[in-house]
Order: sequence, then C-alpha cells, then structure tokens
Amino acid sequence: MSERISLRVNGKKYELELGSYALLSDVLREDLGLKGTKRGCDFGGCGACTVLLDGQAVYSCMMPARHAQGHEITTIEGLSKGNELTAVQQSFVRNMGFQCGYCTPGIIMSATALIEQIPNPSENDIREALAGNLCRCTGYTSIFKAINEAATKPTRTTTQ
Amino acid sequence: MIAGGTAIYELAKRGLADEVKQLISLRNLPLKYVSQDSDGLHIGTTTSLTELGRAPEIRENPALRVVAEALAEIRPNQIRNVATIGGEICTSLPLLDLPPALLAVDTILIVQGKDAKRRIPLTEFLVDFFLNALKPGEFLIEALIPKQPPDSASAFMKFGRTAYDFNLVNVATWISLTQNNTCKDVRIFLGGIGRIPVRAVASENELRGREVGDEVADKASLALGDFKIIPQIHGDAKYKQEIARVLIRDCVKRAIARTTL
Repeated sequence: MSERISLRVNGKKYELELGSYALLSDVLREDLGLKGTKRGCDFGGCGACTVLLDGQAVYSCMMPARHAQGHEITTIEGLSKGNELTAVQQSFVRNMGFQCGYCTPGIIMSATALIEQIPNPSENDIREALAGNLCRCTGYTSIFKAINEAATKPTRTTTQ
Repeated sequence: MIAGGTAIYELAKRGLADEVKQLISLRNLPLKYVSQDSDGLHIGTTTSLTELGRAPEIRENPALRVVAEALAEIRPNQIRNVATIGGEICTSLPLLDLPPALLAVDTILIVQGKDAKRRIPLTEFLVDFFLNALKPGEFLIEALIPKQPPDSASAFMKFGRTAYDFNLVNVATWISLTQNNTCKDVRIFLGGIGRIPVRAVASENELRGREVGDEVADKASLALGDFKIIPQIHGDAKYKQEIARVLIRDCVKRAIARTTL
C-alpha cells in the first residue's frame, strides 16, 4: 500500500508516493538523494543516521517517514549556506573532529541541536548530547574539543 | 499500534515482527499532554519522554522525582525525543526504566476500548515479558499519577554497563512519613530482576512503621528476599542480587533525605 506524503526537508517541500512503512532514512537517501545521512547499524544504536526534526535530534532509521510529515526536517546538507559552513562545522574542521568521517554527519547534527538548546554546554551536557552517537576512530577527544570550541568561540572563521 | 515507533522498527529489522501485517500510528491523535487536576497528573500516551521530563510537575515535586530521575537515565536524546510514555509502558520489557518509577507512584492507566474506557492499575497491566493486559481492540490513552500525600518523597537509581545501555538492575523507591519521622508507607520496585518489574516486599516490610534513618535503609537492603533473577550476559543472578542490595540501600536513603520533615 502506498500513499502520498509531503515532507519539508532543509526548507524545501517534497511530494512523495511512499509505502506505509517507509523509513525516513531510506527516503532521505534513496528518494531524495541526500546521502549525507548515513546508515550504520540501522536500528537505533550508532547515531550515523541522526537528523533534526523541528530542531530535535532523532534517529531517521527508526522513524516512519509519515511521522515526519508536518515537521521541519534538517539533514547535514541543510546546515551550510552555500560554501559557508556553520560554526559547528568549522570547528570540526579546525579541530580534526573526525577521522574516517562516517559518523560525522550524525555527530554534527547532535552537536547542532545541543548548541541550539544549550548555547554554553557543560562537558556533561556534551556527553549527554553525544550518548547516542558512536565514533570508532577518534576516541571522542577531538569531537568534544570541536563542540566545546564551537560553543565558546563561534565567530572565528577558517582560513580555507 | 505504534506511537514513537522506536521499538517496532528494531524488532522488525531483527526479524521479530514478521506476523505484524498492518501498523496503526497513534501519533496524530490529541494524546500528547501533561496536565494536573484534583485527581493527579494526567499524561497522554503519545507524550514523548523529553516532553514529560521537562514538566515542572514532575521535576519540582519530591514525591514524583522518581519519574524525573528515571526519564533522565533513558538515553540517548534521539530516543528520548521520539519514544513515548505509552510505548514505555505497553512494551512490557523489564529492561526499561520508566515502568518501575511509575509503579512506585501507584500509576493508574486509562485504556480505550471499542465502546468504553476502563481503568487498570499499572501493577495489573504488566503481565509478562512483552505481554500486557490490553484486550484486542484496546489501546492505552493515558497514565494517571494519583495526587501524592504532602509528606512523601521518592528516588530512582539505575545500574547498567554504560550510561547508554539498558539497565542491569534499577530501583524505584517512594516513601511517606508520619509527623514523628516514622515510615507510614513505602513502595520499592526493581527492574531487570524478573520478567516484569518486581516489588521488594521484604525490604518494604523492614521500613513500614519504623523510624527512618540509615540503619533501616541498611536493613531493607539486606532483607531483599528471594527472587528468581534473570541472568544476562553482563551480569549473572548473584551479581545482580548484590547490585540490587546496594541500589535499594542508596535509593531508600536518597528518598528519605528528600522528605520535608
């Protein structure tokens, strides 16, 4: 059974014909071609698929696409303005807050939601915000540093 | 029927929901609310864990702190923002943190059937592992936490392998005192021990009618009683029993410290 669903993703409206059980992660990647949202464990354990729903971090691999109707979905592709990265993205670049990069979009979405809700997060706030995002490369130190710096020195620009 | 949908998709991907042919989502029904009246605190079934955790009625009332603390132990945010109160209850899993907390504050459930609503205490609703007392055609619409006596307080503690994991053991404690510092009533529920949350009756009996303090908390902890404890890969029965003892002791002390007397 399929039905018409309309989604708002990164400020753009999409009309889609979807099966009742279609998952948001599959729709973003396969139907809309937004491959920045990653599929990792695919059942809510790793955080690679994290997107924002009305500014709140959610696992897109566990969310029926129809549940996202009427909400504003933001993916990693929706953060930068053209070539201008957000303060969080710039801080990840400066601090090498990634290695292989697979977990990075999900982590940046979680960090973005955190700083939006708590502009001056404590170390504990950062840990809570990242509890649902696994990184198997970095050991997290550079990620914490990147988020902390994005919150405390958001205006510094990159030289690239 | 699904609300947040976080459990069903995991089950489906593990091949455990093959018999499910149709999903009905409750998400667009007007069942997302937290409101207080003379009966107590009404929580709509599709209220997310994040939304309930922010409610001042829960955060600021010592009698309901057990619920706030249980919600704070459910991680990560990506789940807390989507998972619902109704889902935490109806799934009937002993690994979850909210059910023992709701049991400790004597929660009553309101269930909608085809023709009528009925009330059922949470103690009777959780029947077995993955099994609740809903009949065909019924669904949970509300959890009602009855108005709490003014001299009561509560606390929740959890022990898991990491902060992000399900519990190995958790404990939810609620206690009410008389004017002369004696325990009038107490409820202690343990998660992670049996197939559904279990009530630590022997520990409660060490507290009821006694003057409260560290000594009775120690006695309550030692009196744990014989439970058939479900072993897990990260904690066998003996280990879990020791953890349960320590958690009961510390949780009872924490609840006592919160009473206003």
